[in-house]
Amino acid sequence: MYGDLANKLVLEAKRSQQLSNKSKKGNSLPMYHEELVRNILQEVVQLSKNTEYLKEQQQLGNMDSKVWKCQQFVMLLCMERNKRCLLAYQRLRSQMLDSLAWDNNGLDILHDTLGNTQDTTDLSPQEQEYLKEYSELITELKSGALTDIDLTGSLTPPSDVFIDVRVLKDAGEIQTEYGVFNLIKDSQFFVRQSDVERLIQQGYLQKIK
Amino acid sequence: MYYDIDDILADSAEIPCKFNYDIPGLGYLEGNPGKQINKNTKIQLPLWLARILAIIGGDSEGADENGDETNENDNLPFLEMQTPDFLSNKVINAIKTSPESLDLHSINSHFIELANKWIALFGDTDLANVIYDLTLARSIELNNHASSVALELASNKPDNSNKDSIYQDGNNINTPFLLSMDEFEKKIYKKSHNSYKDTKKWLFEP
Amino acid sequence: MNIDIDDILADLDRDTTAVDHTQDNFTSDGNTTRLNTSLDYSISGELNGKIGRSSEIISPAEDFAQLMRCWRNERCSPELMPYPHYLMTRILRRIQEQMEHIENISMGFLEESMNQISHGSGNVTGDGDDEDDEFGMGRGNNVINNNNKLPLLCMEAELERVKFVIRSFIRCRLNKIDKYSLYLKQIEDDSMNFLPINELLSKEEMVYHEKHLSILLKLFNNSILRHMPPELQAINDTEGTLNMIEEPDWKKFVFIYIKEVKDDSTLDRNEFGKPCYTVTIEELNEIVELTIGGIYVMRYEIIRQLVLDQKAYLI
Repeated sequence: MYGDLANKLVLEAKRSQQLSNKSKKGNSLPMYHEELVRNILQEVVQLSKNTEYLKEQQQLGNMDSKVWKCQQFVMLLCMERNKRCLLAYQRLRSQMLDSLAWDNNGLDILHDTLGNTQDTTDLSPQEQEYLKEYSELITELKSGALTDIDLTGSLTPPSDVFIDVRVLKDAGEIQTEYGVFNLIKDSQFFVRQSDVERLIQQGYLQKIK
Repeated sequence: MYYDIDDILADSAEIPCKFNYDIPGLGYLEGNPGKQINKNTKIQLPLWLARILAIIGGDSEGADENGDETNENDNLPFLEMQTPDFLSNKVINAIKTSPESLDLHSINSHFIELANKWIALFGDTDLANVIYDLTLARSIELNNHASSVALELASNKPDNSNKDSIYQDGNNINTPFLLSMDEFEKKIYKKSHNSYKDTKKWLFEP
Repeated sequence: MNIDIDDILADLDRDTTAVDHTQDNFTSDGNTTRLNTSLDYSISGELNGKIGRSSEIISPAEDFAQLMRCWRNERCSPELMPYPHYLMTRILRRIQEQMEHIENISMGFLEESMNQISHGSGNVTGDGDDEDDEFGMGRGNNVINNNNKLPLLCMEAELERVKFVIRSFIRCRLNKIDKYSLYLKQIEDDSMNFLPINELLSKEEMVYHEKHLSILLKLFNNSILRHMPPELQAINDTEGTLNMIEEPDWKKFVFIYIKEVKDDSTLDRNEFGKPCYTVTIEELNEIVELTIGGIYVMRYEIIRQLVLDQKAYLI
């Protein structure tokens, strides 16, 4: 039945949505369903051809207008349904890509140190391009009049200006405004919160209460 | 709403439909490709298809305003939607008897959304009242569950997913009511439960 | 040397309001109408708009209060609120000046400590780990120096908070721009709106909106729409069975607080003689009186105009 494949795709989207809601950090997209999408598009092409054929038949006077109308509508509705499902799937994924770009902006987008790797092969080529372009857009937005406020910074209200942090992983040397810190596992530093926010996000440092 | 995943899934619900005309070429809708659908046949069709075919039909779009006698038979919509299983009398009675203990999810995972769509389509005020009472009764139960927040110290837990807080949610998610919620209720539960959790953390965090 | 907390606080005040003195020299006599004290929702009067040319001086405290109100309104409202152009320009400028100011003060401390060390009074801390604070001095140094740093710390904390509010505000707006990008595009093309698009969005936001929409459309076109039959290739089709353009949820319930006004003689009075605004709830065919200072919860569409006129705030 037409639209069944599209339903499968939407269920897949729902599953991705639920998965990303559950994990608190680093949601990576599941693999792009290349085949399913292709099959749905093929279904649409088929329906489109049927519609063309029916139109010819109607013009030739071979069909009762009521019957023709009903058949046309059914085809059209199936195509609309497929379109809606495809777009919803793609949009959900693009939204997840957006949040990926915001969380990891300025860093290696595809890999954060918590081990949540976004495999490039999971994304379709168009999605990869979109991710790259969107990251560039964000970087462009960050510079300019709004540089000072660091748009990709933390969205939880700041508590202390300076905090104690413990190093979770070896990370070599980190350059900050106030000098170089050597990140060795289990060492502690008293640093400015805004400087190390990014490192905490990535999982290199942990805030100590 | 166009892109909303739950709305799309709700639209895929099957509705029993009675055709008002013989339509050749649509046999595939009932699994008989190549055959025609006869007048008065009943088929299960998805809502997204049925709801349009139940409005348009005949020679004109929708019903003829003039109510022309001679054309009456030709102006019916293509099909007529009938009460689906999930809104049958059995279900309605179950709702009226004990709304809180009803396993809504097993009746239909998008029950409330679908009921609302049905009400909007048919202007069914009786059903509207039933659903209103249902939602109200279950919301109270939902709130009871959402507001029971048991925070445990996270330091003993290996799961450090919520690094910002020393508390973690100790709530058991397997109570019967929580398992019986439909998608709409689940969304509300999640929002309110998170809200209660945040409030408690804010009150008690050092 | 006696540490007088009043001195420190006075210092603090002077520092944070120092910005005002760099503006024009005329002050308010309290009676003239304040041009820009409202939420600066319009950029009409561009000529008067240059900072410092306004007829009144807005104190930073007032600006911050307005920023907070804008922030709250934006977060609670289902639609994109107009961008407060002037307010933002002033605040961003203040932030920059404050950052320079803090930089200067900490440089001053650095020099001071350099002098002290070279005069042989430096105490080196015995801690094993690298606990240098940002002034390059070891902890546990002179008590006096630590106390002098307190105002600086306060200023930095305050700065972080202001930056946070702005960040949250802009991110919220960007989120809404993304959500309603097609709707905004529709508004842009339709000249009959209440606000032209360049007042609704800041310059940067407009650029962001255009670019993001174009790369998103590219994605959709290449992966899906291109393969559709011609009549189904649109992304903003409103003629099909479903409207593809998402509009803000005008029926969302919101909490509002009715702002006090100085002059309430022009307002309606309710049965108790209290000043109020009257709104109509169409669905229920009801007329509701919203008294000044009251808090109400109702659908956004009913009180939308009140919020846009700054007569009510969302809470």
